[in-house]
Amino acid sequence: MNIMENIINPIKPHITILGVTIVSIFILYSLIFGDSPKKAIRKLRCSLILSLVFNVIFFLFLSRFLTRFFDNITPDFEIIAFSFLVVLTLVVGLRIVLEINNLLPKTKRGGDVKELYKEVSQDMSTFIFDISLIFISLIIPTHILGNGSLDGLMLLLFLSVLINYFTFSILFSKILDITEKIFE
Amino acid sequence: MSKNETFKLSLISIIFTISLLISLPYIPISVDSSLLRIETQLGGYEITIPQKDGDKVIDLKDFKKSKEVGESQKIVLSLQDENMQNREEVLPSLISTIERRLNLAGISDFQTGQEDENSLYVIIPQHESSERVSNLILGTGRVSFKKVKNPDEWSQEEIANFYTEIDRWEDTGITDSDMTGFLYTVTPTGESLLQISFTNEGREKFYNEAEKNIGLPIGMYINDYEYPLLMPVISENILNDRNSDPGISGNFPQQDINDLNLQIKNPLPVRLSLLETLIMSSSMGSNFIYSYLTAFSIGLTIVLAFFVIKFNLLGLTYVLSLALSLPLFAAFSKIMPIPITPSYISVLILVTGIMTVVGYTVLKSIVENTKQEKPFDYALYQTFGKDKGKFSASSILVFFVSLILSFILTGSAKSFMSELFSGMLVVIYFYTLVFPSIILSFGGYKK
Repeated sequence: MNIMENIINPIKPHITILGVTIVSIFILYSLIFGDSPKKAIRKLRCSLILSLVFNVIFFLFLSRFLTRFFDNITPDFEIIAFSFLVVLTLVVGLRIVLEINNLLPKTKRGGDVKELYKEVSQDMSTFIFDISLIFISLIIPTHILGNGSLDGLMLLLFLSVLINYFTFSILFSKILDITEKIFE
Repeated sequence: MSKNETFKLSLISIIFTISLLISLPYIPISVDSSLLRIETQLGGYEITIPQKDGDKVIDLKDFKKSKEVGESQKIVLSLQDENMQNREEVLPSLISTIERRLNLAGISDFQTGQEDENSLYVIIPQHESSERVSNLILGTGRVSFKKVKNPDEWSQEEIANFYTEIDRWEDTGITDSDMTGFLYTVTPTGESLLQISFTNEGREKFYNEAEKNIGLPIGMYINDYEYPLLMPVISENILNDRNSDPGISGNFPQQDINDLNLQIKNPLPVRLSLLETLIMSSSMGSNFIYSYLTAFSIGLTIVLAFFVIKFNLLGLTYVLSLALSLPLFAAFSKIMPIPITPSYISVLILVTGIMTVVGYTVLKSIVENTKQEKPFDYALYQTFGKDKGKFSASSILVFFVSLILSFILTGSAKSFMSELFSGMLVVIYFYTLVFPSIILSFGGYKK
């Protein structure tokens, strides 16, 4: 019991944030995609949640790794950057998913989302690159010109943007593959 | 320009001006010449709102700062019984009671700990009243009612002596264990009423004592103080309804009554005394806000330059819209009030980033539509009408997630979510009102 508590207690806020976000994604999908093909919507929802989970896993692993090397990363900074990553994933992920949703044919099955993604992947890659660049343009000057007390936080925010970029520009097509297999 | 558009632009100007005045620090303006003499100020206002139970003052002088960002106050408390044997057990339970009281009183940004074997400390930000926090912590949460020992001595002229001379009172045996708390109500005449909520047995005990003491005062003692807090005189009509709780009319500050209830429901296991209150300097550096806001402004300039390079004149509409919206975020922080915490800068980056995603999506859509030779106002209609979901869905989702999580979470995550919630209000204001109005006024009449 104590071992379980020791594992869960430090990540309790992380689990709460992730849980509330996933439940909210389910509610949002049922509200705004009511008239879209159900199967395709399930696939898109699943791919967004999987992207979120991948991002969270990468972040938890890498932030703990960085904590070993940098003294200025406090648990407070870690949870702030985690929240930042979750919101960033929602903003970028929903934008991509909505772009695919607009291409869905009005059939019952809704088509192959992986194939539909190929149509917008070029545009989306530019979007993800530009948005990541904008976030980095805000983070780096703040890191360099600030008084140094938030260096650990800025490092984790930078990591969040990189993870988000990696997931949506490289991993997302693989995530769509996994989703297609799940719903086959 | 249509009437509707003129109205929207006027509204944006008013909101911008008010936001700016709220967020500005105190700037004195003094002109003393032969022609003109002005002695006034810009920003840093104090707004007084008259209320039935006392004026409410909204202090806009400065941003509230968390204990890490601004100066903090360290309250050191010591055990009254220095020879206590079971300190190891008492101190942790004492700290947990203090934390519970402070959390329930709405003081979320605090730190508690053990100073040495006989004392403990509580650190609070400077914007919290150390006097209120000390009183909240030091009160034992015990209540007792006393009656006049010798009724023949009582007269209205002697009232001051009854307050100061403790020998004139004797116990009734009615204590906090006979009550559930105090209830604050405002009568239709605007007078505040302190109702004493008794248990059924407690009420019976109280009315039995009241019956024997008609025309005499009953002393209400709180927190083991020697002197009575209140000394209401029992009137005959109090016995008319023995099923209702008795009330005392007067002007009672609601916050004091709430704090008293917290003390009764969370009594201290042992008595404490105040040792000292120290002022501590900011752990994040005294130039935290200045240096990070300057650094952020430079980052923001780069982003705005990116927009102008990528979208030319349309990029300027984004620059202007952002400039008109961001002061609202600062104003929300001052009004709500949301303390400036280390997470504030990350929320500022995130909110600006989300507005950038909105701006990017909108401008890209307009550019693509106009490239296909569609009229500008059609492109605008398509972007803010049909394709609105592309940027509004994520904003609404983040808005609700941050609202829910700001209630559930604690500590830094809670601060982050509260700040993000106010930031998302600004994002929604940005894409529903400011951005479309500015774009339309820049080029909406190109047919």
